[in-house]
Amino acid sequence: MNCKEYEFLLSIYVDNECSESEKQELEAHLNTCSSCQKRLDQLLLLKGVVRNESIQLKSAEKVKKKVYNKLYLHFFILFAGLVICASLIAVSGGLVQLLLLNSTPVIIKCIFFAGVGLIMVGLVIIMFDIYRNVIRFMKNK
Amino acid sequence: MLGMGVRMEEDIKLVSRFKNKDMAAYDEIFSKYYKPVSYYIFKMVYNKEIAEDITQDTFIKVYKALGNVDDNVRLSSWIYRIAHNACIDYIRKNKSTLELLDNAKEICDLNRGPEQQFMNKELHDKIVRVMGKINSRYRSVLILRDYNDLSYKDISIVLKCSESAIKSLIHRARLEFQKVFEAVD
Repeated sequence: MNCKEYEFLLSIYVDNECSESEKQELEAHLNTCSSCQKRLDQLLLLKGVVRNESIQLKSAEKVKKKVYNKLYLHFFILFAGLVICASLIAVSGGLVQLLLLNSTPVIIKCIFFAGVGLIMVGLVIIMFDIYRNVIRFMKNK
Repeated sequence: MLGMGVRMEEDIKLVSRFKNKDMAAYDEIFSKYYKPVSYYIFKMVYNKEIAEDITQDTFIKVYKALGNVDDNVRLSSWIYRIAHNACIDYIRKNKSTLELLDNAKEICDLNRGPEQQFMNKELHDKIVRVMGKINSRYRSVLILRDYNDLSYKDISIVLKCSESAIKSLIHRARLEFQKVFEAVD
């Protein structure tokens, strides 16, 4: 092997991923070659330089809270979407029936509209909750 | 290697617990991988806010996909792969490698422990500039290997290529790093 080939092996050697035979061969070469020894020193310095750069990042707990908020928001929006779809189908179905059946007694109509009103109130509450969570999430961000 | 085996066994148990609806398992996975994964992401994009967003998205994807992974998955490589893909997507969309590096000077903090005192601020800034100039694939392997301490096998899973390709990639990445390092003033 020449120095160029050993240079490739050196990169694997500093990562401790050489086979035993490669390691022995390389170490024997390093004892006799100053340029490869110099290259080894450079590689070790480079590894040290990348490894020793430290960073101040947010604590895991803070980020975890945000992850849970986002997950909660995703699931909540999905759930709210399903509830809204189901409500709209029910309400539109009811309205069609009311319009087609003019002979429906007034009391039934009142109960029906009260039900529609309650569904609307429920939707408003759900929308408010989504809005509140979005605001909270934006603030956390 | 024994340590690695124990870690993998722990991970397999965590995945199994998560699949059995034990939500505490996700907490443990988060606590175990938050730091190395967020460091990797930060070093890929060199912007604190963006790194935090990508970290959050990574762990959301982990939560959503963990129920469907193979029981014997190498969890660390799998999470790093999700993080890596998110970083590459971000870099491709924003082509922002260089501009991000301007922020890095303000937010990176040198560890002033006795072992690290040799690395002065000037050198640190230079490394940040060099990292920004080299190809994102080279940057990725250098961080995964030299900072996150992943084995060649794990890196090959993260980057989806063979171990021999990883050996060659790391070698070329180091040559490139050195070349740019010498060229940057």
